[in-house]
Amino acid sequence: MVEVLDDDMVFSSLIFLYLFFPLNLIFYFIIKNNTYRNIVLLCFSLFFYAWGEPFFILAMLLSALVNYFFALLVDKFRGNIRSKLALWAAVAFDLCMLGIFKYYNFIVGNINYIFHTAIPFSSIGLPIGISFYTFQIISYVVDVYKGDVPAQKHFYKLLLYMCLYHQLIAGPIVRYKDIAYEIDNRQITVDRFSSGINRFLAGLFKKVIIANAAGKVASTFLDGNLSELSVLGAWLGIIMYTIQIYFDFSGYSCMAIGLGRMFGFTYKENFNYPYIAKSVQDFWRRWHISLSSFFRDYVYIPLGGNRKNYVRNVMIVWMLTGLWHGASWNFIIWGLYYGILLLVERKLLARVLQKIPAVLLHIYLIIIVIVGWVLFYFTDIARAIDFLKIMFGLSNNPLYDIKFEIEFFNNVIFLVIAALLSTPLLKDIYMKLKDRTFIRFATVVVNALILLSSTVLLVGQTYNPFLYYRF
Amino acid sequence: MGKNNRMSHINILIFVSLIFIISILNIFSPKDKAISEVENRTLAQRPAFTWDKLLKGEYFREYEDFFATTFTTGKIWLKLAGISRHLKA
Repeated sequence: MVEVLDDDMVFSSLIFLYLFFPLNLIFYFIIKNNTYRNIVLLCFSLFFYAWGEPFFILAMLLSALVNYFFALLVDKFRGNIRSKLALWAAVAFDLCMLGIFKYYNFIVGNINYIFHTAIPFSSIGLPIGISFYTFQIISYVVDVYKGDVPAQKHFYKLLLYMCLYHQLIAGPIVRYKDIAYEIDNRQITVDRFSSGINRFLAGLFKKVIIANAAGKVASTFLDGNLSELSVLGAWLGIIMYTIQIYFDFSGYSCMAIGLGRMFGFTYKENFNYPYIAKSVQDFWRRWHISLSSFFRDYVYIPLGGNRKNYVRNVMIVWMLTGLWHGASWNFIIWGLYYGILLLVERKLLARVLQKIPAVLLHIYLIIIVIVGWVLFYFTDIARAIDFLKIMFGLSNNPLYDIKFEIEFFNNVIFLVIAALLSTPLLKDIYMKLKDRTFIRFATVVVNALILLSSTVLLVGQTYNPFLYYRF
Repeated sequence: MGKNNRMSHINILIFVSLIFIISILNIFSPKDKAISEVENRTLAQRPAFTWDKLLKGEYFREYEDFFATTFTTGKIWLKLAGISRHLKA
């Protein structure tokens, strides 16, 4: 999600909602033939990608083409050593692409720092979504090798899987085997399309109404001069960021799942109320599920899982998880932080945690997560440490100040709503009552309100983007 | 099932209609005024097309900027915004 930049056409932009999406609906639904529908989706997806990155689309096409051929070789030489070679070649190619585009400057920067060399930096930039689509295509080739799914014979179908705009730039990381059937056979029913709308708009609400608002408050505390920050201000700022990152990212996943349903695809859930977790392990089963399950299935288990070299495997997986989020040391530290906590939980605290009341476990976990976001937010590690010192009273900053008071009392209700929406409470109530006519009617009305108010807010943002910086 | 299905139809009808009505209103609302009187600011111009800009991604960026900033010009849109505010209240 770190890669989602404002330049690109995201689902929560006016041009997506009121130009791209309606055109896609028209072209898709005037055609009945599934092959042509696939071609329509492919064209729209390529255009969606090209919108932000007209040049990098070549990198994506190359990646698709290379993996397409290697997967065919894996299939052809099945049972032969050449099959394994083709698999390794594909994975090596994918990691090289990732290395060149995403990690080149990071690697060069570290080499220059350690060896006092002056290797020039690259100015190519980062192709949007490369971490997502590369992982998708790796999972495809590996699954073909494992025999879980036959290799795709038609290049355009594989390309469609890889670049389908619903999940191309911010996940979830969809596995080919999960949608292979749906590429050829899709049933779009009225009920499914309708539930897709509900999901899409729930995501829009999370993103535009909750995440954007939280983000504005967060940045007033996190991006300013740290010496002018109060202790409670620091907490409020990072709590707002905690809200922002969850609602932003899970909102985006919701929108992707909703769009998928409207066009007949089923994507797995990517978030399951992570902030109600009671342990670090529990948290990572609920947060960005498609990423953690990717690392579990394609790195952790092949390395030996918990049967041999357990500690090493955990640390490798968590270092890579951190690194996946961005080419910077703070992300690696953030990943290792979770790796170490997982080990501590499993080896030292397993018994203790069982005896502690649930309330305390929730508090324990949420504080770990909030501290984690400090490491995640500040790419400058020294700044992260300063910020943590302020949070835990190890600096001379005041406990609270007028800025904290104003922002806190302005946002009390917002904080309560965001906290409630981070729990499955409303969803559970909705699931119990959803077949009642009144609730179904209310859903329709709420949907219209979400769409209209999000549009108003998006329009507002275009001419008032720096409202908060004026104070 | 019958009742549920009918509500799903209504849900789709309202959502799709809103998307299309707003899209069409946006297409036909006047865009040529460089300054929006309502908002009292200079608006982005429809970007001039060049291949160079297209390849660098600048064309799309400028177009998106143009799309977003001129989105509000139609008075109809402001009315819609008013209605939604009214509904919220």
